[in-house]
Amino acid sequence: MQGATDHAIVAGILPGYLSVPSPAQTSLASHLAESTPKPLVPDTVNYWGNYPKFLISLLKAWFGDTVGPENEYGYHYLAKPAGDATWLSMWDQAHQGKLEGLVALGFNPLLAGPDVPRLLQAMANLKWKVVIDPFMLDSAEFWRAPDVDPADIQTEVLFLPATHWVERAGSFTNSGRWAQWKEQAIDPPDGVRSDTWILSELFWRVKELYEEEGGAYHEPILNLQWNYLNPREPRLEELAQEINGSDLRTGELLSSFGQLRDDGTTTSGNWLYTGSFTEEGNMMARRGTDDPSGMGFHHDWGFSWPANRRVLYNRASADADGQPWDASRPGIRWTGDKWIGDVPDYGPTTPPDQAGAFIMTEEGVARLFTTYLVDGPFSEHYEPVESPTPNILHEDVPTNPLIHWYDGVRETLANGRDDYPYVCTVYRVVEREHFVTSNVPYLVELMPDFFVEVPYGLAEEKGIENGEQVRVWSKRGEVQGVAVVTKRIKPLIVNGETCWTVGVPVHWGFKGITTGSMANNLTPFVGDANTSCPEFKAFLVNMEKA
Amino acid sequence: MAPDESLLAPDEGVPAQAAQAPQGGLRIRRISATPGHSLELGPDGAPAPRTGPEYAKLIDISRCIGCKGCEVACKEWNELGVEPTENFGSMQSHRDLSPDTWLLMRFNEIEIDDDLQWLIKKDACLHCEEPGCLYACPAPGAIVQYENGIVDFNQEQCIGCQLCVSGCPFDIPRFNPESKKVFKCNMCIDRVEAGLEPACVKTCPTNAISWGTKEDMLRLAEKKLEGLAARGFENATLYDPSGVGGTHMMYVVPHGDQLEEYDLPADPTAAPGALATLGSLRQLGASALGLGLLATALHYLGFGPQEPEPEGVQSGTGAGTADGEADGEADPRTDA
Ligand code: SF4
Ligand code: SF4
Repeated sequence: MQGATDHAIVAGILPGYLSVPSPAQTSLASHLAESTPKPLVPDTVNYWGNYPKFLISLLKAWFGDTVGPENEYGYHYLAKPAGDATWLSMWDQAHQGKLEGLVALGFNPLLAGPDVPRLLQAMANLKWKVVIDPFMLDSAEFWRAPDVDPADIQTEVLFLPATHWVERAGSFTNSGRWAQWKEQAIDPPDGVRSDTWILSELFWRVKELYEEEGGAYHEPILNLQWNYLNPREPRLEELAQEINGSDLRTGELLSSFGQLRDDGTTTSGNWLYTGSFTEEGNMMARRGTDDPSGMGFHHDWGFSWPANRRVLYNRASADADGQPWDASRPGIRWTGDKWIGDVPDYGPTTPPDQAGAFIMTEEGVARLFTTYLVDGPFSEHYEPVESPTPNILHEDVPTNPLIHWYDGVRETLANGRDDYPYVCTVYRVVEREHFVTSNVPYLVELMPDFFVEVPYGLAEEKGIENGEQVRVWSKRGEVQGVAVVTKRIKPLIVNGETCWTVGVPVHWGFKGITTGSMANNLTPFVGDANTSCPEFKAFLVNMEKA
Repeated sequence: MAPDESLLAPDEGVPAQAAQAPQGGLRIRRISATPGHSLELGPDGAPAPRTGPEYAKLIDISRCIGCKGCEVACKEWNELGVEPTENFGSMQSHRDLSPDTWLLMRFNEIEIDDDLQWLIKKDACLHCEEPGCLYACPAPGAIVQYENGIVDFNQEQCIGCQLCVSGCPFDIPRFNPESKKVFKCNMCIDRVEAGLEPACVKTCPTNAISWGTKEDMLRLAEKKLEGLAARGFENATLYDPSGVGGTHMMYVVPHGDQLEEYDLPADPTAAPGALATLGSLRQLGASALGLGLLATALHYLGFGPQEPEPEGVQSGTGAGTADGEADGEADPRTDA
């Protein structure tokens, strides 16, 4: 997940958390002006002040010699979307019939999103759908979902079997930002191609069509750099080097994002990863286990962005004089002429009194609140859109007023708790990883069936025995599974009333060696006001013995 | 290191495969239905001192999160079959151990002083110092105890009588009705022999399972108990029951006063069983009467070996040679 967001697999950002330009930013200068923060106090590092270097190096990595100051470094090749392209908005477009086709790469959207019945309608509105995955997914065969009549569905689905990560090299980035290279473990089955081959072919075939037939605004495609040993299937090392970036004057790989420039002489596919693949080799493949400080930094193991720093904001672990707050667990320490310990937040010889501790904020200090939240600056308590209780802080505004409401969604919500008296929450279990493990026999053996966790007292009240089948339904859909009656879920007393919670795991669908109810049959098509993350964790249901 | 003759030279016919150390370096302590290999009958009747390390696994129940990674590691390493399972109202994967499931995390929710406790216990062979299974087994070589503490079943020699099942105070061995053989955890003996820790130890993400010499594990257990006591677990205890001479899988049990809730018998003992019977017979002059009496004894018990391998048994030399070769070539213990 960390690596995916670093490389912009979420709406609204470019690689390295740069901003997607907006239609109002009609020139590179205006985009840079609005995206580059200014320091608010003196002696602030304000590292995002380097934004232009990161963006221009990214454009140079993508478009090479075809861009320069004369054409604003290809800024106009970038899409400037007017609407948001978050998960819910995308599927809402499909639901409204405004999306023609969709490519799902390494992802199972049908099971991963809220309100599966709504997602099924949305998918059925697509003309075509491409699914690229090692396994035949529920999303690819959505026309076979329970209660769907295949005859009603006209969508053309193309399934491209792709390599699994054990069948190719590459890197993973963990939540501690350690990028670790891995080798290919086994050969892919016959007929299965790498995703790099699939995406290259897609690119080349589109490009060849443009070359043959021309077309409106062909420059971004024709000028895209694709300089690989085998341009039909780049090696992952080549991609990693491109992400790292190089100095166009010397042709050498860069070793630090401090070398990036905004004059078109450097490239970098993602400034955070500059230093991960240098002239010295693939830093992500390092496996040194030394840890001289005993703090678990392991600087010779893999590569940790940024700059191989293991703890972000480590300056905050030391006091004004640069001495650790906790001497038994030092992050960095100022010796009088340099910092030792972890890779320090700023220059290794910058004295402790010359810069604020928080290098990425304009004010150089930590924040208690931020102006970046749409419902900020201070946090406020709102109830979930389906809640068993009024919001006693402000009854007239029970839920977040800045939630985006998609058409027809309010009608899918329970009105109070009369018909849906229980709170439900969706989660994962440690034995399984989302949906792919439905194909792994030993893991299916560990966690074989879809289940519903039912609190002991509620089971007693409803006459439900442990191990019996129960049915759970919301206003949107239903699930059925084995009741796991447990004392681990206690009733909550909310505003003086007993409130029971039931829990369902998300890992089941209708494909794989274990099948079962889809938990997201139950969840509401509503997202958080800031992140658009769907409200999977609290909604209302009813339950009976099946 | 010179092999200890009293341990290595089988004077009672031992099937070659049983006596042969799988990788060459393992030294045998006891062999089922083979009193000559019993330490009780060593020189002067005293247990012979070990000549190599004695290993133990220490399960710190307080650190286990119940992820069952160890179950998968066990199946992967030992190439055990996938079994169809079903959720029976629990987070527990299987209802019970089986010939294909040598390790099972048992889950139990209880309330202690109104406080909910989710007890998760690793159920597998404890590798007893006094192995009731081995004592009960009438088939020569079907169960072998190595000097390093591992008790291993040798399916080639197993006659399927299941006396080990009743001999085990922990209800561990499981019979496969198809192959008519009994199976259980072998402490990844092949890994241990190669200087590695068992697969479950290697995989555990929380370090709930430790591995080392029994001495080191006892010391570690002491430290862990101190830590638990400091955290208010005043009944925390080490489970290393003396009734079976101690075990080579031990538990640090946070609620030591609730052993039955973990399915841990409070006072397990190893019944003397067939080994002792044979031992007495031997003392009565089994060597003079030779195999005839042994066979009678076995017959009397009603479970004669189905594949007796007569040559090896009669001469004793074939097995002895194989054994001697195996041990002679090898480093007695590739120390981890
Ligand atoms: S636990 Fe049972 S099977 Fe394991 S060594 Fe002890 S008696 Fe034998
Ligand atoms: S791997 Fe470790 S934490 Fe997981 S169940 Fe086994 S002992 Fe417990």
